[in-house]
Amino acid sequence: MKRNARIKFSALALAVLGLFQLSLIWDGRLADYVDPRQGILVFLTGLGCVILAQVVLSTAGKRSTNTVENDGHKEDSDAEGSWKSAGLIWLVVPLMVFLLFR
Amino acid sequence: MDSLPSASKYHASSRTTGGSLPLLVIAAVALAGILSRILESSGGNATWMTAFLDSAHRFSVGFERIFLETAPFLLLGAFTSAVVAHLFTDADIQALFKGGTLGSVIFGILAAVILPVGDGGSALVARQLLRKGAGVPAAAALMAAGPGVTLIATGAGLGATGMAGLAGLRFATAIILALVFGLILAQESEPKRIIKVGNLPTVGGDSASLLEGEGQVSKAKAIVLTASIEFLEWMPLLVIAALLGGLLQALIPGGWNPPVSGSGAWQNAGSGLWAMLTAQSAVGDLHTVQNGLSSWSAGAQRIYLLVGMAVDVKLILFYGRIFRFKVLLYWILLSLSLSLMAGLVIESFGGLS
Repeated sequence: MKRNARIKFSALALAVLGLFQLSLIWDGRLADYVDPRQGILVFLTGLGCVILAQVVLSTAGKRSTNTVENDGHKEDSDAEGSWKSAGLIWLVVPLMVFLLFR
Repeated sequence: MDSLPSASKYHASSRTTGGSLPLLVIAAVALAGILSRILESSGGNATWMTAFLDSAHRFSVGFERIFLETAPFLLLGAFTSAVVAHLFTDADIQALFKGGTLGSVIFGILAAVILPVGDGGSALVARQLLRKGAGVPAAAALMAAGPGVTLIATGAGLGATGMAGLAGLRFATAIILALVFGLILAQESEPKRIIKVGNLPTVGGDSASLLEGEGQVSKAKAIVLTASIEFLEWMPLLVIAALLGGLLQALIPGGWNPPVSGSGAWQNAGSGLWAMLTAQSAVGDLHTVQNGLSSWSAGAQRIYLLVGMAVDVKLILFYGRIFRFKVLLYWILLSLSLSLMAGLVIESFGGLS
């Protein structure tokens, strides 16, 4: 299930990233960082990330079903997919900087 | 020049983005953040406390600015790259971008104008083109021209009051820069000496392995998944660039930020350095210069826009993912010298009207 978990984790990362950007617009702190005229780009990116997360998550759900049906199929043994090296842990940094620094 | 052989294996840059380094960085950032919160709430006004809080503030603003301004272009680049991966065959791409001719370089620049590939996004698209057999000069021209000529940046320049002249100058300089860079790379007959072949994406798009065994999957879904993978693959590099940029902005003396007082050369140098460290997007650059129209010298405005378009912290990291170090160095030197020359030429003609 390693690979499936990674897909779900990636979907979660995308969703959090998207919501983080949308929240900056919501509470007005976006203006602390960038020119407000770029708000539309940040908004669309946030929305795009949330939509991507939904699509990725739907793939993970489908794969879970397939795994049950094909019990022991090779798909879950492949831990060398591109998801492995995504380095998603780095995505924690923007949130931390936003939350801890004023 | 021969086209590049397709990479058979995908190697993400886990060397730079994996391991214990992220945890160490996260711990350091958390420590600094918590310390700044404690100092802030203590209400003390010792000199060192004020200096630390000021640096912490500059770091956070610098970091988030780079991150938030680049993320949209990275997402657009990921989508464009995914569309290229799934909707165009290798033959389609090679018909337009193969070889090291002037024609292929021009096609690369035209693609940069048409596609939404500014600020980092161009690196993703160029990498996908290389995987599909495009010539290195064409892909390099697209990558180099992207930030300055993309429709989003051009539209923002034309739409911003008083910025049309500077946006036009940036557009023209980006085209010349891409042309020169592409033609220089065309002199090298062995692509492997220019680019890192191992960093190219997999054959069939990055979602190929993910969708294996799922039977018929719509192209739309494959495109979205490939875009997601590419976006997340490049995101750590963006975070690292933002960390470096934010840290350097916090460390350099406040007097070096534009508008810098002193001679014209000193002002231009400060402006160029600030453009490299702030790593703003092509749209953000324009807004910053527009806000400083009255206080920045004309030379400083030009240098900020031209250097910021070509060389900054994030672009160096992104381009370094594709180019070998020597080529990256040529690119940086070429960009800085051409920016300087463009400024001198405009100055000798009495400036922009």
